[in-house]
Amino acid sequence: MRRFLKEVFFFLSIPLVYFSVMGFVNYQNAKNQKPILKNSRVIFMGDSHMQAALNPEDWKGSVNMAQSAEPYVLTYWKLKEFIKYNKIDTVFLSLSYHNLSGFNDLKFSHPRWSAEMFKRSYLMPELKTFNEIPIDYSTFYRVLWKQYCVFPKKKHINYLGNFTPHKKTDFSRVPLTLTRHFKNNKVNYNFSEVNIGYFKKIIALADSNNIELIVICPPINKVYMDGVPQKFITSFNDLVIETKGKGVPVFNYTSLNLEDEYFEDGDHLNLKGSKKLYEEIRKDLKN
Amino acid sequence: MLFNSIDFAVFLPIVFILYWALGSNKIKEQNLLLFLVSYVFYGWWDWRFLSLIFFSTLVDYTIGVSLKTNNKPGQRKVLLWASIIVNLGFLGFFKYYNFFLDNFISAFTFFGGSFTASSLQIILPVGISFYTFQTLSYSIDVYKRKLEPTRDFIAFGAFVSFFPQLVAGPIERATNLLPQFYKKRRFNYSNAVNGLKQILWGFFKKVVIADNCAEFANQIFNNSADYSGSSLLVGALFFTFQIYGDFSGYSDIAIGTSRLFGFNLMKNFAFPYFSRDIAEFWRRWHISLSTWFRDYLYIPLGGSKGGTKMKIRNTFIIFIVSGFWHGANWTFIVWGALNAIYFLPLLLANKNRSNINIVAENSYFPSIREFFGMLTTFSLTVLAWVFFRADNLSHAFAILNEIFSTSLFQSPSIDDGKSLKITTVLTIIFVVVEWFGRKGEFALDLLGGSWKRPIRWGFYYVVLMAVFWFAGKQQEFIYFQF
Repeated sequence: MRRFLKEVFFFLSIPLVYFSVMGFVNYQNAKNQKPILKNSRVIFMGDSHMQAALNPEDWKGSVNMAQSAEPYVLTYWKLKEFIKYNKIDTVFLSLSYHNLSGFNDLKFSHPRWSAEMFKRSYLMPELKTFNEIPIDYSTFYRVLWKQYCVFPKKKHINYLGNFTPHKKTDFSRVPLTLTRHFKNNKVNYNFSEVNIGYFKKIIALADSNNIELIVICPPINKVYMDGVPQKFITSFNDLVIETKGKGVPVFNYTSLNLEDEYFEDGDHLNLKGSKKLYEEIRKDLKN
Repeated sequence: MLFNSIDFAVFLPIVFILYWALGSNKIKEQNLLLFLVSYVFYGWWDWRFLSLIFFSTLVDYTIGVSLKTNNKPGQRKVLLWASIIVNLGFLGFFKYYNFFLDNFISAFTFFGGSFTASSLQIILPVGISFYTFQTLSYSIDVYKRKLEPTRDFIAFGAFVSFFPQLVAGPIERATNLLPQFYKKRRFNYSNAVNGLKQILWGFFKKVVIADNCAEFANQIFNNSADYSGSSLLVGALFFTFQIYGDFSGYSDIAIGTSRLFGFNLMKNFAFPYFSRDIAEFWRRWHISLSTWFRDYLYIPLGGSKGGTKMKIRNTFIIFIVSGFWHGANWTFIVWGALNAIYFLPLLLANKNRSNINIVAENSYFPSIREFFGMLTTFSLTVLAWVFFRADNLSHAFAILNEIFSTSLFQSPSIDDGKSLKITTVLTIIFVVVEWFGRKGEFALDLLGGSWKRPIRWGFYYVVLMAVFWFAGKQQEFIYFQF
């Protein structure tokens, strides 16, 4: 019995010591990291829609910080961090129908997204007190362990996004995407009051920091558009009107009716589409 | 309490230390401790149902004692039936009441009658199907004088509620487990180490394989209308590994945990997906339930000794009842019947015992014949699992209809590329490890036994790391609902 306990203790103590040392080193390293952006005057923010829509090469002094599946709560935290360490003039923020859907409330608890969201946000001070939507703590602690305790890690800021160009066009997954965005076990999601609330908080944050916020609603293909439940279309239109009412410019291209060749899939532009959108925005900005 | 929870990670070492601290000579005290902690373990889920398990224990204990003193055949039969009625009565009420009511109403309405009754909101007590069968086996064995009834209520209570196997088996026979509660349990180092290895492998099966496969199986089955035949087949494959990882993982943790306390539970899985025919599959899948039905239902019905008609009847009865045991849904009944259809040709041709030994026992790889046997059996099993997983019969048929359509030849389109690839790779690794470990009680049993300690420990660290690194979202064990 004593031998068994000794062996078990010894077996477990090796990884425990290793994880503790690694955790200490990585924590010290992570503590001092700041999100300093090279091109910080114009920032593109949002989820994969923005990630595929605006190419920083087309816009001088800009950087695309959008990341796929990013809920507005994370965009809000990111913007707060960027403001602390950078001089920002303009933020382009994407808005689309799915940003209103209740599926955004699952981002910190759903098996598909939660680990990725925690990976991006574990350094965010706000995460510690965030309780507005369900949080999967077991996944959170696992992510924390992976980030701090397993390997020596130089870069801990995982929330910096990038422009992701797509070359192909493929609509085969549109039904799956529509289901993911708007349906939960065959029933339509409700609205995400939290995500909509944080969209409004971003507007207020930009306003209080004298940042010009421009909302971009990227084009959507008809195949996808036809599957969006009417209640989300109505509410989206209301939100666009409300946002404009606050003096925030909204460039709404959802009904631009671009040809299929401009899309990567039902709701993302490809590289060609991104160039096309750039031209459209330039045209509208001049007006 | 779930095995895959922090609560259990704290609970197990405390109970282990307390148990052995009492000393091997203190059998009664050890039994009392196991009895109490088992109730804590069960009550962690819902303490209200402790009364149910306690009542069931009390009834079977009393009936056992009465059977010992009573020699009148008529009265003994009444006592046995009392046990059957109480145990199956609880099971019937909690598990099948709404099913029978709904089907009765449907049948009544179908024949033009009018009948209204509202379903009850009944919570199914976790593990009721398992401990009910365990206590039933005790009463039946005592009635048949195969087992001496116990007069030690604490030992009997600990046997019924033994926490490692209480909620999802293996369904132990009183003849195997109960006598272990009377004997002195000595701590055995190699048995305990093997127990830990089995627990580790059980966690890998459950947390890495089952929970990750569950993510895709749920996604595909819950939105089956959006998927092509090829994607639905992938979904069925994921469910196939999910249910095996989930249930056999639970059994491994249960058996491994029991070993830490000096108990030996029966083997519940023996690498069933390497079976060369369906008969072999059923000798290797959920062994404790299959043998229970064989001993307490199939053989009393006449088994396969009678004519062809009797063989067919008994085979259908055992498989359909086995399906129905899993849940109050026609999908389980059809799943059972389908397995009976798979099994019958072998039985009638007297080939149901042609694959008794381990596949490719003396070689690394199977022969072509064995390989095709395994592939056929596996494919038939995957199709049967569609019924097991589907919400209802029309859902199952819709899925099968799509699988057997031209969309089967489209490339599968499943939402989420990265973790899909990881899960697929992990499942392949899992199958490989299971294949090379198929001669042992569990995959890691004989693997690495002759390796030097640093290599052996390194291997265990890799498995342990995989459990933490690749853990899927925590899911309840599937068999908890049964």
